[in-house]
Amino acid sequence: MKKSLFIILFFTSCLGWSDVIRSPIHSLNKTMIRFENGRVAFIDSNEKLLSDQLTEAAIRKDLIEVKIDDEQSLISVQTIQEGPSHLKRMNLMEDPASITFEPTVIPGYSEALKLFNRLNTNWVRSSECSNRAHIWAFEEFKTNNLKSQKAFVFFTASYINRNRFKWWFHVAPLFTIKENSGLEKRVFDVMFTDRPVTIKEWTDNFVFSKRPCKLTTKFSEYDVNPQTEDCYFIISPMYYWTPTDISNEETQNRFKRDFNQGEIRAAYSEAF
Amino acid sequence: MKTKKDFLTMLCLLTIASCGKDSGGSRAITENNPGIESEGMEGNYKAILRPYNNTLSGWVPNGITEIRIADGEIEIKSWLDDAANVVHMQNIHLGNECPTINADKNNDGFIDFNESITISKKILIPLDANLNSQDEGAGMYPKGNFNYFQKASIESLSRDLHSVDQNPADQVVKLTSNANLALVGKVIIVTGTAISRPLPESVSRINTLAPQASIPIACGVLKKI
Repeated sequence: MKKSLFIILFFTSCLGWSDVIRSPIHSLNKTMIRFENGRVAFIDSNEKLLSDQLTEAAIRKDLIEVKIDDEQSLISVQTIQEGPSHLKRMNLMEDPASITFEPTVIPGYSEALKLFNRLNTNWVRSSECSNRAHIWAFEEFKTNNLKSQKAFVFFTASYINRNRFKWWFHVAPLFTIKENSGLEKRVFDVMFTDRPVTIKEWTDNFVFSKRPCKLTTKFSEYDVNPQTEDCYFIISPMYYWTPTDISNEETQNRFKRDFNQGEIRAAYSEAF
Repeated sequence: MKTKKDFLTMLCLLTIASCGKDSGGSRAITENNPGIESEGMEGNYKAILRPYNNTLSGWVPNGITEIRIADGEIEIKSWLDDAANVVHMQNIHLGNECPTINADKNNDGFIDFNESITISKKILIPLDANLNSQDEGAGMYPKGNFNYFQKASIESLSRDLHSVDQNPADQVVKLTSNANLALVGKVIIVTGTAISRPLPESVSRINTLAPQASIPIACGVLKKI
């Protein structure tokens, strides 16, 4: 009995040696791949064949599966599904329009804490932050008619390289709370914090230097920046699911004015 | 039966320890059942394991522990995602809250194990290879990104937790005779980061373990669901 227990524990430990990322590619450069699901992998810049293969997969928005080692360096790549279905997801977005989005004001911290404590905690292991955040926001809108925003933090390439950090972005719902001194924004990230926290408290969980993330409205500012910052911070309406939605707003003038039911289904399916 | 003073130091013996160890000791004790019952404890419990000391790795550790008590048995399953492929000690502590940065009394930027247990109190139930007693299965913890599952008899667990503490000076405690095994509010702490991570000398050790093996990386509070 004891022996078998030992073997089970030791066997599970071996799972830590490599990791699998299954996602379309968001973007890539000579040394780094950024996946739609927020994960990062590193490639050898001399691997031209592999680099070309990844570039094609990125253009087609193929769903790929990569294995990485514990230093996040790429071991292997496999195409799981070719791109059109992912492109179709993008085409489901709302047409451009001039919109204003006003988040609901939560009347006080005690109400905010109740809201935080009722958020769905039945996420599955390795679920994606964008899917958890989307469902938390959607369920509060559907059940309590509360409009929230999304807090996106984007980690720069220099920060990722320096810390061998595994994500290039992270996202969680952002609620507006009436406090004594006025309106305050608080991030509701049940997976990583035990209460609603300020934007700085939230980013400190991921930005080890504790440098504040530069607030911007342009995805391009993060994307083309000379990397003097550790991170950027963007606030979007609750309907925005992934960074692609933010960049589409900027590059294609495409805004989202409602939850897309296909995205909701996909988010539920992956995260809960 | 192995004494509790060996507890945790066996961690470094993970690959050789206890394969031939006799687990019959705790079962024999239960033959003299004093009437410990699981009534009132039955149900499902959950703790979300959230990161702390999270400047230690490129990943922000996270996980979940779920406990089910039914039909006189306790089942515990947990998982943790973390970048470090090291042994992760996971223990249920006697306290009711996870430490915050305010517990960093030596201001070295880390809430080490000794600082953590000033808030979360000492270890009550090691989530190791044998839940039936604190001693059995000691030092056999999961490693890397882990899935953990163990079950035990509530009767034998309770009996062990109410037995005489053979080593009151260590980090593992027993329940007082009139205390119940109430899980709601109790704290789970997970330790262990990569040995390559530099840590200041001020970071405390658990017995003879390295500071990297001793330092907490995640914590959660059990709630009934």
